[in-house]
Amino acid sequence: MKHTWLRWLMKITGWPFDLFYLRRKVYYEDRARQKKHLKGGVLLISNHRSWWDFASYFFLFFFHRVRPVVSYEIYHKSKGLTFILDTMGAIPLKKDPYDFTWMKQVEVELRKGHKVLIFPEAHFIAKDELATFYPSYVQIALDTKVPVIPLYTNGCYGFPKRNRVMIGAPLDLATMTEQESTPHDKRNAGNQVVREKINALREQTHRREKSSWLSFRDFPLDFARVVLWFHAWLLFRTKLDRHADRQYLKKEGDYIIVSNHTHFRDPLLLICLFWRRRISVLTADVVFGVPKEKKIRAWALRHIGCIKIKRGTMDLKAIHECSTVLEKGRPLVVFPEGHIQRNETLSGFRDGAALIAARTHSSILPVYLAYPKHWWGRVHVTFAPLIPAPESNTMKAIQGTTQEVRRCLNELEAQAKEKEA
Amino acid sequence: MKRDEVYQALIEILKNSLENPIDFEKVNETTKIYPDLLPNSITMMYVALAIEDRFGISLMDADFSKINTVGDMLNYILERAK
Repeated sequence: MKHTWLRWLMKITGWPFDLFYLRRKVYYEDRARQKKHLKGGVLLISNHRSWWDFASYFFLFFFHRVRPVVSYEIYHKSKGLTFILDTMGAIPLKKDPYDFTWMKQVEVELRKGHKVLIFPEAHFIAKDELATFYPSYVQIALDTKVPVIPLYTNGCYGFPKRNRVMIGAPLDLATMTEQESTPHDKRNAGNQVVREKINALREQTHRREKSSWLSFRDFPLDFARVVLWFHAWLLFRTKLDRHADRQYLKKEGDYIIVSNHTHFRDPLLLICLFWRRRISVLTADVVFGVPKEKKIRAWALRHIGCIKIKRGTMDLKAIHECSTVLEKGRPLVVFPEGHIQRNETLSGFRDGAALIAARTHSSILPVYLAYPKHWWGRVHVTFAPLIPAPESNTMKAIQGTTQEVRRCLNELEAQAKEKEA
Repeated sequence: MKRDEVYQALIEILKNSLENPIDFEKVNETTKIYPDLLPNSITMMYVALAIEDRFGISLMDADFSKINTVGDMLNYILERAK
């Protein structure tokens, strides 16, 4: 309390840093119970991803007095750090199983109506996973009867990354652990409840992050989508043969678009066709050009969502990039023929698309692009129903799915040729 | 990890990578991976990804031209999994 004016000075001067560097986005599990509604003593429990978590929560609860619990070693690491942590109101904790002084101090602070922040993992975890939670905080919550607010932070700090925090609804651990008979069981049950809740918040944050439509990193891709859509509308002039196929253009989630490849315009055309979504295209390395000479082209292709693959080699990096794109909930375009087929006949299908589908459990959407005979004609686009991912991760199942995709595309090709005739 | 355990897991991955089953009794550490077991680059890719998932190692920087036999692959996995 002795550093009240210093704490405010730190908050006010550090606020631009928080705004532009930490770039925090806050989500609520229950919008009716927001941080501004917090009153009285509250125990804030969060996962721990980085040292920046302290700064992030310090600015998140801007108008509240939040006292973080930090390890004794960190607290006394240097005089400067001790001063900063002291100003923030940190409570030092000795990692000694018989030292309960910090718990007494936390209880006093909670009874005074302050908020206390505890990272029960006791150290930060570099991976986006939850480690074991130490249950001491449950005992504090049971003794003081204060609500526990679970928090999740994705631990992404530094421009242009964005820190995403989800604030959960308050948990009354005393009521939730009533059925347990011994204090030991109560602690374990309460700890389990909080850990599961933070895990659920983690999944919710990922879902919301995927559905976010505004992203600085995707600006080149979004810009290209708008420009390409306009050019496509002007030059390519696509036409969906069946009205029902429109549902596929609006489909959400991750899936692999598999198409025939008869023209260099195919990827552009598909980007335009699926302009509502940020799609990535698996592109042969030759398209990127010689790295030293075609730097701008490679940069542009990479930023509009092209994933470079070296054909005929074991390019595991490309497969991992494709998996990342699909895990983000975005569609991926794969041309299984591997190169442009000028004679407009499907041939030489490869198993890459089904292999990626098996790894990510993504469905496959076959698309057939039929180019007109004259330059002024329209490109006819037809879709086959979604093909589920291979049932098992065996090569036999993967090849079975490839055969199924090929059969669908052959059917679409036959229909397109029949119509043309 | 013990060599036998890794060998059994590797054989399991190789079995899953084949469309038509072969007699794995005849397969040993001297059996050539390409083209005896894995006929093309996509099956090689499948095996590499399965090894990454099974043993928690990264093969992105691996030089596959030096891995010719099942024994070479086994030694490579054991070296990386240390």
